[in-house]
Amino acid sequence: MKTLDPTASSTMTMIQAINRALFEEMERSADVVVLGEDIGKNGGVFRATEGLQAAFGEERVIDTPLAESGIVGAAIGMALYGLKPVAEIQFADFIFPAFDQIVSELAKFRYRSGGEFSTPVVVRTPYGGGIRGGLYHSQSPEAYFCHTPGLKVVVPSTPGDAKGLLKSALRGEDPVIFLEPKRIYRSLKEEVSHDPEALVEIGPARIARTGDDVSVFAWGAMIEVAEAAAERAAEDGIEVEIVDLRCLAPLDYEAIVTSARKTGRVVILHEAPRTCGVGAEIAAIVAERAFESLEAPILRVTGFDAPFPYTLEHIYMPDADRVLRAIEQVIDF
Amino acid sequence: MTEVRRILGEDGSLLGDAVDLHRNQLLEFWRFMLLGRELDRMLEELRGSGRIGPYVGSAGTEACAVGVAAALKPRDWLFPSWRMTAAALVRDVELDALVNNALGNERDRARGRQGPGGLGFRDELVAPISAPVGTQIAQAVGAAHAARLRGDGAVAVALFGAAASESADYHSGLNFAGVLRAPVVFVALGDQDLGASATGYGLASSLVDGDDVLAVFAATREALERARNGEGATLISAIGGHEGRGLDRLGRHLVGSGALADDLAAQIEAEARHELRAALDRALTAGQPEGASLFADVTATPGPALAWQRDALMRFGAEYGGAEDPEAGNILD
Repeated sequence: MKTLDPTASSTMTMIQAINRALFEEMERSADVVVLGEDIGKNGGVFRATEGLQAAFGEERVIDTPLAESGIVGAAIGMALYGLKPVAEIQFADFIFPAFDQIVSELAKFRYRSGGEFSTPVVVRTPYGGGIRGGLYHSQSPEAYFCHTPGLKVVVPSTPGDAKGLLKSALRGEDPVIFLEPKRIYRSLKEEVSHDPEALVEIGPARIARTGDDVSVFAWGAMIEVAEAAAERAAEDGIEVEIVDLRCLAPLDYEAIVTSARKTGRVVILHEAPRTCGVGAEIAAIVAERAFESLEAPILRVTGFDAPFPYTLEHIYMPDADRVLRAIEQVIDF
Repeated sequence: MTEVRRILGEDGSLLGDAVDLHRNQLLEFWRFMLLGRELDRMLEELRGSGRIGPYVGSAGTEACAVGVAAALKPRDWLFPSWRMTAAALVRDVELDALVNNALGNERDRARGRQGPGGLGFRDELVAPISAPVGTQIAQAVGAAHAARLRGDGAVAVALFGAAASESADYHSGLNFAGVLRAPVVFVALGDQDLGASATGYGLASSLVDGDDVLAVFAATREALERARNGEGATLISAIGGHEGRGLDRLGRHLVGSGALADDLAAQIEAEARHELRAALDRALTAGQPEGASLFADVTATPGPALAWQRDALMRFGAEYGGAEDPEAGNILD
């Protein structure tokens, strides 16, 4: 890997953008280290860390034992000491052995020490369905982490955002759970800047499409599903606004409330199971803060309250048809 | 079975090699152990009278805690478990800080979040304790790796009760230490020789009497030296933890060697109790942390949700640490 002309850009997939972000930040600061299973010599199952060990050595690009709790625990110790570790969990489905280290430890160091310690660990992990991964390679666990004070939860939906948000996470002072929608790792390409200082702030949502009739709140791989539904709605003269939340903790209250007040009709879209999903929180925010503006009930299009299936994933995962039906329901109410 | 290393006999006589410590240093060990015991007794009393919340007593840990902490260099990190309070005293944590912590008052460096015994001090490099058992063992390995990467010559030491050897993070920690060849030392106080598990992960091990402060000190110093020289991690099984035994044994030795005449012992004890009483009196004059502090230190800066919750609570009035507001309770403002 090598340094590129910062004034130029090139077409990248999300996985290339993530790889680039890691390279640039490791080059910028000797404190950045990455660790995880098969991330060094092998370059990671999705190749996100390809070439990094050759560039920065085994002490900074660390192949670890197969033990997620140990990976996050060791990353916490590195962060306490002053490094900026990026812990890769091979699939979000395997993050649960590290749950105690994330929820009881990583999220609480700053609070439990009265602000004397901080643990700016970035936990990167591919999540979500759509790759025929079955029960244990498809889950969307964002709600567990949003429910834990002390963590930031970030979900990019474009290559450019993936690069800019990951770089911001690495320069921030807080732990970040960085959920990467693996379904669009390679399917989506866009022009991405080589400027190492091109950051995307963690917190503000992105308006992916502007419209006056219905607000669709979504993130990750669901953005392209929302866009497909919005295209079809436009054929019937319905203008959909798509708010890509990008950061699920903390949520961008202002963007949610502003869009809901503008359109008065809200559809929330996510892959994760419905009950206690992040969609429930967004619905509550809209009900509390934009009640007077609502023209219709708030609807959710989500995965179901069943474990993620292998054969029937195309039925389990929200698609443009289901989103379009919800859009029509709130319009016709 | 490996022989248990002892330097002090039950009667205070020297067995085998003495450590090269001046008698003033031995007196200092004794004073720290005494102070630790008296602090523990005071906190037990405060708990009994309901002045503080649940408190896990530290009786019997003094010899191990003091022996380990005294062997550290100022740049070394300590990752203790609950009950190892005397180690913090050796690391120059002020008595007031420990008493304020137990009371959870406004002067508590952790702002009253953890409860009695939940210590953590950045300047003194005592990592903040948590209740889940064994988690700090993996964290210590990460800190050790970071120290080596930075070339600081620092070592991280995880100190815990031997029951933690049943936890997942104990095994992760030892495994990572072996794989990374991290400059880390593990000390387990209890009734088990854990050497076999260390061998399994390719680590060195030693076995000492955990009620013999000099044996613990000597073993820790040797393990620190190995770690600093790049020879890898060591697990020390410290067999003991019996109430009063460590303090009495060193006391007998000091009396026998003429370093601790009866009147001097009485004087040191009286001084320790006086210091503690004065620290408690000062701590009791402090109020609770202010209401708004509940919302501080969650992340580096509060997100919209937390800021909203804080502002809403503050409007409920002085009882919550805010200002009276006739509109209090209107959460939409």
